Amino acid sequence: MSDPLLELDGLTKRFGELTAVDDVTRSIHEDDLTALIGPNGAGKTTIYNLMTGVLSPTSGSVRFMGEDVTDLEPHERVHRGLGRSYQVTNVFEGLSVRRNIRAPIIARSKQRWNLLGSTTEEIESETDRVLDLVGLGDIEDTECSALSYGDKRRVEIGVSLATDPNLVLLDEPTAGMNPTETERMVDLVQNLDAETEQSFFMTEHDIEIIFSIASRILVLDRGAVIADGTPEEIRQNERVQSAYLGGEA
Amino acid sequence: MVTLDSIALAIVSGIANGMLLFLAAVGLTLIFGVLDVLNFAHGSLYMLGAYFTYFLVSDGGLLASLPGSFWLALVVAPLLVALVGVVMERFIIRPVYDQDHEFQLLLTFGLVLVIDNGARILWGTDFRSVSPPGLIDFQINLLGSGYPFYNVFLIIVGALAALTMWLVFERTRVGKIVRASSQDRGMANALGVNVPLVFTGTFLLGSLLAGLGGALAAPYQSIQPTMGESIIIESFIIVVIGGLGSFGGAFAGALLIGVVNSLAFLYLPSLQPVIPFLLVAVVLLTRPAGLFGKEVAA
Amino acid sequence: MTAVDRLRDSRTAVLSLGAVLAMLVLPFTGILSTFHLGLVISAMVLALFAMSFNLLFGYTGMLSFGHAAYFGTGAYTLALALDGQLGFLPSAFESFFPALLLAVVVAALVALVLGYLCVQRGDIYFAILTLALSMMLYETIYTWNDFTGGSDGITVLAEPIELGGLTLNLIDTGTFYYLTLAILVVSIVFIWRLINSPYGELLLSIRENPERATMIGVPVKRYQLSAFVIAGTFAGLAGTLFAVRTFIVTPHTLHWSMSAEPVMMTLLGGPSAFVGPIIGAVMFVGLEQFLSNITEYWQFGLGLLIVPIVLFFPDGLVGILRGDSGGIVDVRDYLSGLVGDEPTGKEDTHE
Repeated sequence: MSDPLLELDGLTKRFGELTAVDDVTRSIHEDDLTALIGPNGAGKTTIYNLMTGVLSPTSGSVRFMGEDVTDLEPHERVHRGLGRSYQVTNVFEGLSVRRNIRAPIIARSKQRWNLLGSTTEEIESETDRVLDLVGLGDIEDTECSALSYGDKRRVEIGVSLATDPNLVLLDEPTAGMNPTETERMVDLVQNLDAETEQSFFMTEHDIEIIFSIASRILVLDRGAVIADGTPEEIRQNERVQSAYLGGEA
Repeated sequence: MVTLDSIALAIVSGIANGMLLFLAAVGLTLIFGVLDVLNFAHGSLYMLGAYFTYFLVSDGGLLASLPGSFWLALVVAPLLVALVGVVMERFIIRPVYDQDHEFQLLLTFGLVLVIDNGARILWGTDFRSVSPPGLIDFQINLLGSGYPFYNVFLIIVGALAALTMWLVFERTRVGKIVRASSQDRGMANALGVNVPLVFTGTFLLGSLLAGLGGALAAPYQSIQPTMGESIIIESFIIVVIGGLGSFGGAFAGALLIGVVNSLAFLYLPSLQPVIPFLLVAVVLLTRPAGLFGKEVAA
Repeated sequence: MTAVDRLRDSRTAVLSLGAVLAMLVLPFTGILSTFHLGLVISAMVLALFAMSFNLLFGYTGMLSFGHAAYFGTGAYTLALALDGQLGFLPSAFESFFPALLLAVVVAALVALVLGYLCVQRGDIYFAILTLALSMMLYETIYTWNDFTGGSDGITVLAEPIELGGLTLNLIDTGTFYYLTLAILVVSIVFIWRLINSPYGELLLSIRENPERATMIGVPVKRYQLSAFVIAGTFAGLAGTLFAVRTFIVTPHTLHWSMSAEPVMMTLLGGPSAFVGPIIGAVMFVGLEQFLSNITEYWQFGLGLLIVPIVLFFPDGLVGILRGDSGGIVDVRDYLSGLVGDEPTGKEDTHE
């Protein structure tokens, strides 16, 4: 097996008395499309925030592509190839689709401190490439606030991809979508996973989607990983059933 | 001369002044904690509290001829200020609760211009003063020096106000409702809490405390239109140090600034304006969330 | 670039060129008295001040209530240098252009130090800290009597400048008009390029969504601080012109009510348009003339204007002319909301 992309080692986060993430040690590999599931309040968002650097852990470490990134700022982790998309659409509402996609590309180019010049041809062609990748080329001049929910979510994914990540953390990519939009989003993620160099790590409340596209599933309950395996293994795991179904299992 | 006694006296005076700062800052921080609105005009309410007291008790005032006029004014002036606060909340701040902070900041900043300059137009810029009521207008012997009892009175009232508020918010059902509304408006609403009422009530209470601070300040400092801007800036320093929305932070921050200012005024008068600034800088660089700020789960 | 963009660009170019030409010939037309020409100079100085403010507010989403700190720093540094009070510097700094350069550099440095503190926490703290720190600077200047002249301030007497055989007498209204115009035009071109550069595009992403900007790899605080320093530099530049224009620098140039002026000008004109602060500055000077005839405390009137502008016309005059007020509250909804019991928009679930 290849070297792990992301390694969590003894990762723990406490808020006062509450232990939101409890001693999690796991590795995420490039070949997998890994999914993180768990009941509400299990600590999924906190794990995301620890991975991306929004929160610092109480103890433990995060390594990305062999490098300890525990003490790095979020934007520094992005530059190293750790991208993130959000559960609630979190795009630059007042800017056009093109500018949404172009901003991350500027941010990782030498042009980011170009105070008085214009964007280069290189940036523009890279913007075109990402716009095509997520199928947004025909609405590139529309301001995001005027887009439909489904289109906004595609911009959301596009913005994350435009940071040129090695690993993209997707947070509930189909939340709030209608069945058609959900289907298109699942297709998009599957295609991107297969055709591009990016690997994906996702959370998703729709368990059916997880079981159909993930190759590995981590189950989180009360801050701890209680199961880890292929979809078949997870389906048959008793602890998972009791965590989700309570005493009835 | 620096003696232990003079330091001790400066500290007592600092605490007295700190209590007034607390009454102003706690309302600011309470309104922010519950409503998520920073009211720039909060200091102007404090200024109004002092002027209302002056006009109630000075010659020809509504309460001037009554016995115990100052004590009555201590109740009436804050109530009048609370009324102003409620009008402000209802007509200007309520429409922008769910807007970006910048709208609330701009609106309340506009209110500062209106109230502070309105005071200048109506009442002029001359200093005015109110004498403490005879009952507490005397000197006590503190560490061998005569010391105005009014300062001790301020400490007692401030401590009582802090204790009452703490009890109400920590120990009563009303306190629970207010805290719930501040944490999750939607949930509180769903549980049948009348959130708009809680908001108006909070704004009323915050304004009342600012008015009380101003009324208590009337015999303590000279009354002038700029007292609002001074107190709001000091309150801002306090909430930066203590953390916005933190009750304990407001209390500790107010006493700290009161005492530090008092000591600096005595021993480092030329550096006095810079010292709160240095405190803020140290806190920002070492405790980015403020002394009492807490990290919260997303 | 589409044909529409090209057309818009060429129209902008023609309009800007026309505006500059009109400003160039204005003193010759004879339609303005010296007094009114002076008002135009004031409007130009304040326009620069307001544009520097809006680089933060309109383009980076940072609402500063202490922008006068850098304006006043520029004004004081120029006054002190011209007055020969900065004895530790070579005497060359006692002449206008070196003093101007020095003043701008000092304003930038002060903005760097104070700005570093202001950007440490979120938007609310930024507003608080800009105001508090600017007032701290005000108090310091006010109390530091020996050096700054305390509340009396410092008189500014700019000696005539010899420039390649040409003598510029800054006290002459006409001469100072052209100097101000030249500095304003160069600054406008600079700021225009800035907001349309790759750097400017990242500033916009911070304005729209700072949290997300971090997650696309923008070091948000560093960008906010850099924008703060650039804005402080231009505010300092405006301050130097203000000092020459008013012949005296007092602590008022750093007071919060001075910081209120660019806020007001930007709101009057409209923060979402590039020319908003310029239009706002013109309106502001007119309003000041009008209101100060009625009361010494004319900012009362401006405060009264702010409330309805923010509620109903946040895009200012430019928004109204565009036919899109951008109002967050509809006037009719607001009025009917006052009559009914139910307030508007309370469904907000707080995240």
